[in-house]
Amino acid sequence: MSDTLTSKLNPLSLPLRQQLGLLALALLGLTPFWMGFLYAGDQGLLHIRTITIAMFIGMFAMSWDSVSGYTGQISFGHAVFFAIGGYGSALLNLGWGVPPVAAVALGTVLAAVAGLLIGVPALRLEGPYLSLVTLVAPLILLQIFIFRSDVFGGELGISNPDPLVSTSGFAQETYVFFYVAFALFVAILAVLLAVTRSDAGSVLTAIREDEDAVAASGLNPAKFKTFAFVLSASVGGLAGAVFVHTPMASPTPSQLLAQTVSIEVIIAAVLGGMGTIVGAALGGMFLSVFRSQLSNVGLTVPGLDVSVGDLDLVIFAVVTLIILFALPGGVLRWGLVAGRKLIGADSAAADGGRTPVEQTLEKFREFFRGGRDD
Amino acid sequence: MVNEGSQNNDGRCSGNEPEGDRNIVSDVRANADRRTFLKGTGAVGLAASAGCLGGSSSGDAPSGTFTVGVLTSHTGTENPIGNSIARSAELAAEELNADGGVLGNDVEVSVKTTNEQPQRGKTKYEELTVSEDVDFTTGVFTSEVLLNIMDSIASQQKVHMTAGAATPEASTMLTEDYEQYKYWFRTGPVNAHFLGANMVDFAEANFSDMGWDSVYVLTEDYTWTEPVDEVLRNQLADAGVEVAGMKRYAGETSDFSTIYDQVEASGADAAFVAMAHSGSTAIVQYAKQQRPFAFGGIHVPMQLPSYWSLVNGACAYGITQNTATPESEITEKTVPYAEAYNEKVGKYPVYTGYIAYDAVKQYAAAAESADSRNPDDIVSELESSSFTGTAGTLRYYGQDEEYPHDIVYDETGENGVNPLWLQWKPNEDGDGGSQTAIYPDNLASGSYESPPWV
Repeated sequence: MSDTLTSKLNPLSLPLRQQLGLLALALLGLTPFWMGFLYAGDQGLLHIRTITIAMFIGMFAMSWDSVSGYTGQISFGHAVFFAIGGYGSALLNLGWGVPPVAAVALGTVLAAVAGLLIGVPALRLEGPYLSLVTLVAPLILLQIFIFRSDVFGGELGISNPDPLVSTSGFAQETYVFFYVAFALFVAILAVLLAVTRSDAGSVLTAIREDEDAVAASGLNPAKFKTFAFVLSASVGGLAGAVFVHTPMASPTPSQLLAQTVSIEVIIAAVLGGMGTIVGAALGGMFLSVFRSQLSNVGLTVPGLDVSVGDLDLVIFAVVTLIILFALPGGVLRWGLVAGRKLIGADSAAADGGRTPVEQTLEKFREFFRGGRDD
Repeated sequence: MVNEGSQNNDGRCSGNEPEGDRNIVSDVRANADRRTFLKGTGAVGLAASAGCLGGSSSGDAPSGTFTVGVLTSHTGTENPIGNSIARSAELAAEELNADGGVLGNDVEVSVKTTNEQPQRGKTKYEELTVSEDVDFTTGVFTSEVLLNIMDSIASQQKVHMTAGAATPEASTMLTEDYEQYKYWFRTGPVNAHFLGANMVDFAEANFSDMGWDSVYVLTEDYTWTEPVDEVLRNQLADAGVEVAGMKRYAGETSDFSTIYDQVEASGADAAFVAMAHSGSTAIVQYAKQQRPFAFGGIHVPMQLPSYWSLVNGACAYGITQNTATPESEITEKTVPYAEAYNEKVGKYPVYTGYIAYDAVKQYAAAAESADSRNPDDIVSELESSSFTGTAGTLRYYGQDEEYPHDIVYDETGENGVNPLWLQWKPNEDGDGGSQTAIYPDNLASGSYESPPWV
């Protein structure tokens, strides 16, 4: 047993793709150092902050992927959990003086409870009901925030709570919160990979592929879906809670609750590779960094008299659409397949080659057609 | 003038918080100073070990070229609010350079767009202050972006002079922690509380002559109108105006017929409004239906000098509050600035342009007067200065007043700024229309005319 564990933990005995993943993670962790060689002065600090924010977007995308990417139950409003975690933690800290670490923990619990409240009834329904419920949930929450703007600050949001770690000066602040984000990123990645690669993860994947078959085998799909949903809500709430305790974010609707946040997270996960966790993390980080870089492009779009930087969201969306058309399985899957071909280790897909996106779309089609053809 | 008629990602408006009873949002800001005692207790070694990058130069007085950092919403020519901020700051810099620069240094302007997104606004603010090490910053159109960079302003300790966002929350932060936030000033517009106060002052001075004895208050349901609503609710009746009704309507309203039915049924002489996003829909439908009541108040779209052609004259006889019109001689600088801007851009500026231009010029004057580029020296200088800008006399409320570092609102216009009111009137030759200043009296180029169908 211990031999097995030792061999699993030994990087040299891991498959090549996992070795490359660890190498990428190590490079990410060393960002402050290699950024120093690439950029002189304070420019490097700003890039480190960009990557810090990107890691949080990656965490949000992983949170979404752990439920929607695996079960095929698309959540259109995952921002609701980021907001509950973030706002909950901020209000506890600011209103009641709860220390940041405890506030983050309580904010995470609040998000988990919200996951239970929304997920249990919605997930027991078939078809796209979860999508419809989650589509409406953040809209309701936003209206509550606006209606009770005395508590939630309305569209302006609330002020920044205490930082998770106290720092002195811009440079120190940048380094410290980079590693706060990195530690959380690695922890969430590890937990979600462990869960989705476990037997429970296999059941979740099976639910996406054929929920009826899972039920027929004596397993309760609703139980597994609820578990995934609450786990996902907790992870999203945790990331949202920590995010607002960094100097890079504030508890505001546009950063945590707006519909665009939910949509961007879906795009990120699908772009990176739905149902892979790692792909979602990569997609989230790419989305954030790519948009940030686009915003610095000063070129003017001919005929529109608008700079490329002003159109970052539009350009990002167009590029995303092109990538999705070209690589419907996501960039990570494409990379793995291309890599296998390169080293001559190509293998056939066990599921007939359908991507999670195609499987999920098929489920939605079945629902709107009024059931299966067979 | 007025608030930020802006649209956020989620399709809603950035607005302003009520300045009245302090709520949890405000109360919690008092906790911000708890951070200070924690400083220095965490992860110093980590930062030191990773200290291959230089730290920021926060608090140090820059040297060499005098650089102005501008945060604007969008800069496309079709976005007059953002474009006015950017081009006006550049115009001010050009004029300063032609006059020998500031403290013997050339002036440069660096413009960054926020796209009205708080996260992006913060990143761009850091690029300006950390990477580019600008002397000071101005602009910021939306309140949401402004509040998101307040902590960064405190951290970077560089003077910021807001030109656009109207939330009173920003000055409230100074009330609670002056030392931390003292680098923030609002050059304009007057904050959302005073936007309402100015409506009351206008009503008191003019309504009886205008025949507006009774008004129906219509405000769009965005946060920025909350302080306006509160002031109107509490003070309009005291000004001798009969309030026939008050309604906050959904900002997404596309059919005003029912609302206008209510105004009509109330017998009000006029709809007294506060509108930004929904303003064009409201005025076009009002004009088409030729309702038997007059229309005006704070109507952001009507402030645009080119608005008549944009709505095919639907704004005829409407009135709105504004910072200035291109022809209004608020000070000796107003018209020359508007003409210079028109020459540079090919259009006249909107209210944010006057304010951004004033901010750059006032900051430069303060640096010259203090003979220093040190932010603390500039803060002291600005606090005590009285500067003649294009929008009026620029003075700031003091540390112990209700809205520290907010531009002083003064109904006389002698010791602060006083918004002017204009009416859109058809040209005599029947070709188009123009903005006619109607109040205050010393700036009025005409008097109010009731719509012919009323």
